[in-house]
Amino acid sequence: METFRLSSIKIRKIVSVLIFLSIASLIALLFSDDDPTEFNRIQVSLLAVNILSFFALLPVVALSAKNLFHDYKQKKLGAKLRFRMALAFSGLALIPAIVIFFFAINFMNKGISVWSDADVEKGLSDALMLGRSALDERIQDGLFATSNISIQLKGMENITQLLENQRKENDAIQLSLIDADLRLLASSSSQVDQSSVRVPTAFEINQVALKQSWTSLDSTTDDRYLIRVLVPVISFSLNEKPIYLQALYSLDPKLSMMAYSVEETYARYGMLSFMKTPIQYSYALTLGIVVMLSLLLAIYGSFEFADRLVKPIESLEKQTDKKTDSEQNFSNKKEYGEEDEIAVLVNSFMAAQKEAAWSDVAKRMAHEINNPLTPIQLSAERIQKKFIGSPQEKEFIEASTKTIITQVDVLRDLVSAFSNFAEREKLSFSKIDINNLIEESIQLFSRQHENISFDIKKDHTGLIEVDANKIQQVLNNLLLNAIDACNQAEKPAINFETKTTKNNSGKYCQITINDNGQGFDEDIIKNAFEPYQTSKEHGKGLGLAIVKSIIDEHKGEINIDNSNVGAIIKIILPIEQENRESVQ
Amino acid sequence: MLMLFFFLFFSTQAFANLGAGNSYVKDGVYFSDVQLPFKLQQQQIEALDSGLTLRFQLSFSIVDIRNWRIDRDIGSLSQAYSIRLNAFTGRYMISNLNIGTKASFSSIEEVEVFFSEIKNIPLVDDSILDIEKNYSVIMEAEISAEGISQWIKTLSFWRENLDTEFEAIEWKLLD
Repeated sequence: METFRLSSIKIRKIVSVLIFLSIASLIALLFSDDDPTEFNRIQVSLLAVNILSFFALLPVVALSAKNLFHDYKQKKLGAKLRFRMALAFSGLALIPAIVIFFFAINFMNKGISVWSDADVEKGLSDALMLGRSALDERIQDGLFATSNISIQLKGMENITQLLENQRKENDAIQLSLIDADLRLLASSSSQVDQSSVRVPTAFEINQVALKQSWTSLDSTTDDRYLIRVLVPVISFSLNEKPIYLQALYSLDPKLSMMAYSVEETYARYGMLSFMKTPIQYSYALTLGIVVMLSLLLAIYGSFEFADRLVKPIESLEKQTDKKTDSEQNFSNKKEYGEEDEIAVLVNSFMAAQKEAAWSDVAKRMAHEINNPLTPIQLSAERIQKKFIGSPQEKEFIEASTKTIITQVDVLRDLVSAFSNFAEREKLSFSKIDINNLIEESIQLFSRQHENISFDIKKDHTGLIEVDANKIQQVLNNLLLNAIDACNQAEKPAINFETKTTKNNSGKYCQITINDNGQGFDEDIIKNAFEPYQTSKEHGKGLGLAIVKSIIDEHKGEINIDNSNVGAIIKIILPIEQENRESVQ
Repeated sequence: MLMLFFFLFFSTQAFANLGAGNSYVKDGVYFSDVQLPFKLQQQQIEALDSGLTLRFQLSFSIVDIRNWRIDRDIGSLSQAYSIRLNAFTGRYMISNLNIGTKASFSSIEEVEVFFSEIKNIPLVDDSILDIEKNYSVIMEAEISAEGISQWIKTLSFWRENLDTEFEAIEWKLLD
């Protein structure tokens, strides 16, 4: 039990750490970079913490559920109410979480789908086309201008000046002459630094050789666009190798900026559309993990909450259950219409109240009746001794006073029985052989009732832990009842049987007493263990109530019923009294 | 299931390629020319056309190959390019991320031709090399999608992988 408590505390600590980690990582995830394509390492780590928390919490919740279900199946005290409450709380958490999850997924998917909305795509494409038309026109202008410049180049004489003039005239930002080996022969640039001349690649030169021109739109480091045109110079060559003219034209900065902006947006849109499905998966997976983890925490919380809520009820029930008998509770269940712990608790309270009332009445009666008995008896005895009169009168007085003394004794027995019922002595447990105890009771009565056949079947072996005197009293009471019941039978017989039974709470000894008498009245059976219930002419109605009280004190159980012939009484007693729980 | 996850998470698609490389000295510096059968996967072309940027990286290692001892690294160099489609011009822009030069091409084929032969890559100054040693150049090349986390790539498991690795090429520096 101690080990269980320790491990339970450890589990709670672990769960607390997991909850803290999960909540912290969920919050961190919420505030981390929200770029859908840049699900960076921190986010993956945070998600990993959540997944680990989930898998760590899963066996804890499974264990709690298994224990709860096990207790429920074993019908342990409080398990039913705990089970119902845990189920209700879990259900209350589960249903809205699932509904919210599916709605969130739906809204999220719709939101992501808006990215790839056909109208947006068309608008962006149109913007691109518009920009392209404007750029194509500018590129063609550049190509036309560069071709015209190349025609005017006749040789390398004054080439730098010529290039400078043509550059200014055609509003170019750079003109350069390059040979087939990609060497820069001459150039004119609006920029002072000549090293910034962009030399074409061999591939581009090859393309010019094939197609007579090469145009490209280059972007600069400051996000501007430049039109680059490369044409062959056909009017002269150098060392019989072809020469190429490269011209750079700038775009209007405003147009360039807008083109850049449209192009960036289009690229970003295209990338998001391309990655739409994995982004949806990513969000759904993240949301799923978060929901699953939250649910698991809610379920675990519901188990804990139900446990804490039911614990005081269980404790109260255990206390009241000690004072009452479960059979009474069971019979009252129908009265209150429910079988859960609350109904049992109510029943226990009602029964405890009833028993307390009976006990109080018994005490008062014992006290009130006992007080005058001694003076009555003494007075009768004095009258008996002191009376002087005729022999006939003396004989009458003696007979009368004897009757008074005898009836006072009867009244004393009754008072004693009341006292026994009202005041429970502390039990003194010892290990005894129950078969021997039964045989002693049989011997006590068999001599006086030789016409009755007594038998005992000893299937239970070993010792059981009981208060021997109290159990002897139980056996004597039941045996007396059985003798009274079967005395009128043709061949009266009383049979005892002992056997060992087992359930999950431990081992028990079952004692069965069977007679072939007239059996119990059906009306008596229902309330047989309540005080003053008797079918005997001179019975006090306390015998079975005392028997039941003793068996309850032993945490046992007693049932009475009618068999095919006569009555049958079953007593179940735990073999060990330590850490004992009730049979139920 | 966990194994599958890790497999998907860390796997990149490698395809067998046979490339070649050679080195030469020019003005006291070793340069290399590399020939690669550069071919983009259909998924990568679709990604480019959608607006994604691909990164093509060449990693050179110069190693002193020693018999019976662990090889010694002399130096390493990384040459990276980005490839993207300029939606405005409809041309593929290639940027040399080391020196910032840019080139544009009208088709994927031109891009592939451009990368099939990369010339004049400066590797190492000959002053730090010992002429008697047996140096090798090992080149590894890979294409990866830029701006897409491994997480999102993993969740695109039904597609061909956007990342590809080329078989490493090795040649003698002093041949």
